[in-house]
Amino acid sequence: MALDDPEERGPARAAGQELPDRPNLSLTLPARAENVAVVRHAIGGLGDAIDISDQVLSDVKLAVTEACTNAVVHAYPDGDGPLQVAAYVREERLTIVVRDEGRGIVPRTDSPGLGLGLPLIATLAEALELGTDGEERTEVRMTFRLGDEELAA
Amino acid sequence: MNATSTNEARLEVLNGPLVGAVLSRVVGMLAARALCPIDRLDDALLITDAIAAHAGEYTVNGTVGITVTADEEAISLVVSPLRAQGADGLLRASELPGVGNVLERVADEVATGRTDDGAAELLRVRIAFHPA
Repeated sequence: MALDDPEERGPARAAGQELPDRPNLSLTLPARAENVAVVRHAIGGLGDAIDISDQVLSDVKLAVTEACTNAVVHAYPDGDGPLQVAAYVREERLTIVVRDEGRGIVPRTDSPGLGLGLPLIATLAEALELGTDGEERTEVRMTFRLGDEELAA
Repeated sequence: MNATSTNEARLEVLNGPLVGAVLSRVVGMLAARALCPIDRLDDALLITDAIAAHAGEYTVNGTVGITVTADEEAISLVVSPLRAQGADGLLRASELPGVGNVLERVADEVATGRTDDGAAELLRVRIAFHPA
């Protein structure tokens, strides 16, 4: 399921493209609140090593934080489980996939949040896709354009 | 020690500049969360830098894999999978003239071994927060 509009994004849209077999970076850790900050710092390290503007890196960090927080809050209501963050750098784009093995993205009438996380990610990212991977893990896939072309335009 | 007091992260990074940039941050965060004293945090990051600088030369498939485990007493790094003679090679690569082996001098435990499936080698390094 894609939340962005393909007509609006045009041919440069990266969502839906197959990702390489191996990510540039993969981090797997327990889906706990304390580990969201670990992921955020890891993304900061990624930003140190690739050519990315401060503005885009800030957007990436915020979006990934939201996606990981969703996994921590919603994926495992009965305990702990794994949270994986994988980053793919290719063709002037950074795709980050947040995966968990929880109950999937379903509406919750008892949700403790405001429901703003996914819309916020959709606003920050060039493309956002929600679904499951080949191993039936819940997947939030975010793609960002590296650089400031849109700001400069 | 209960289950939630142990935190474990598995990091896999394509060999290159990403290894050092990401690994040091992950180790630093996990150690800080485990209330690692500042002097040992410094030691842990020194070891991390030494591993990040050389691990890429000894990987099986071009990806550096490191499992970082932190609890109330120590932080441990397991570098795997490594190719044949890779664990010893990575350990020897951490020797500095006039200083000796950085890993062996700073860490409390350094060990080489094989992965659970026996297919590859691993290097285990443990840094205690309060060395004996």
